[in-house]
Amino acid sequence: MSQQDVGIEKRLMSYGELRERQKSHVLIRSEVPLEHAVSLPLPSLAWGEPAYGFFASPALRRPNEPMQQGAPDRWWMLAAYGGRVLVYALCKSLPFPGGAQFETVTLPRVALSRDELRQSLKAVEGALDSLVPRFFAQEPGDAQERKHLGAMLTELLPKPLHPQYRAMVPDFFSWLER
Amino acid sequence: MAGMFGDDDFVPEVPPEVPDLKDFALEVPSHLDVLPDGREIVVIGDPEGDKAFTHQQGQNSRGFLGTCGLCSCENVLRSFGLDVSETSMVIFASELGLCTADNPDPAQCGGTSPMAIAEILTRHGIPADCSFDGSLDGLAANIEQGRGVIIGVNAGALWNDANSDSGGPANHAITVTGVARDPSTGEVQGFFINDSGPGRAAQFVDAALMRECWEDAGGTQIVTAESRPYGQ
Repeated sequence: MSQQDVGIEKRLMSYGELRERQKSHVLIRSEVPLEHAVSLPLPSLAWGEPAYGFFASPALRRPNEPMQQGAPDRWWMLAAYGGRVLVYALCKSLPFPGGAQFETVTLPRVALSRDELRQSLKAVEGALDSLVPRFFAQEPGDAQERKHLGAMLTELLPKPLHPQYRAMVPDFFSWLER
Repeated sequence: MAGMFGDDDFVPEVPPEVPDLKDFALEVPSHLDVLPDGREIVVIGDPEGDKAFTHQQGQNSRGFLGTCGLCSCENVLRSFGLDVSETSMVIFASELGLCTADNPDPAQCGGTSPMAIAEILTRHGIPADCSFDGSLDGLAANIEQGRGVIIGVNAGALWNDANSDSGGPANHAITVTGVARDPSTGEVQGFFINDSGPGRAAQFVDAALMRECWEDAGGTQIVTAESRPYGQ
């Protein structure tokens, strides 16, 4: 009987699976306030093994008003294989990666409908699923695909949060823009 | 052996002063009503009466604004007859480290995790637990048993507002105060909620929308172990 037969094959989580797990992950249950805005997870190789980085920030939401988002107050890394927690830190205890500091920002009003937003997210998920294995394998991947994913992320992620995402996973953005 | 023991020598399994859940469940009020679209429904719970337990969040002495979880705790505890306020919830949770309280900007404070919400209720003498992957039928059953129920929703879906959309996971806590069923089939038609975000009370949420904003966001619910009293 092979390892595959007994279900212990090492398998990279799909991006959709990662985001689905996020909804009831142990950190989300017990540590991260419900009201916080949680970032999209993005990949990194800076933490000893392939991983996805997240950060979360206090957020003020009012119906049909732009969201106000405070500086991230916590961040964490989940293993890309299996999803276990590699690091979880409050920024007051272990600063944001790279020591970056941020201020409260008002996010621009979202011009897309919710359906359009979902479709954009789905497209980014598909592109990440296609490219991230190359990134984790430290291969260059297809330059056009990298450029396309970079453009999609620039479009989807609110502009005031770009510095936060870049500080969280600088190696991934360097790879995209290589 | 007859006559050796008196009535007082036996300890019943359940002391008579401890109410049975099923007795409370019988007291959950219900009435017939009609939705704005003309559908007839049976409303189980007291959404109208429970309007008194909610208000727009942010009404506390510390200026915390991220208090949907704490306002939901206040709502449930008041439905159990406790005399609490948003301010008392904020102070209690801050002192015990059960909400965020150390941001220099108080407007950014007040956030609570699902497990912290359950702990706040429990420490007030109303034992509660949190669970995930809930279903509409399970949620309806909890309301019909008279439990206090707080759920985590994707506010963007609930408010139909892309600005508040998490892209999936829950990002807002609300209280569920009633369930609406079809009188002939018993099918769940929707739920009534108190939402401290916009300060809406007894808002009807159609089953399809509840599925989108709650079930699809992870089905997070914090449910009291005991049933609440009604009409007091």
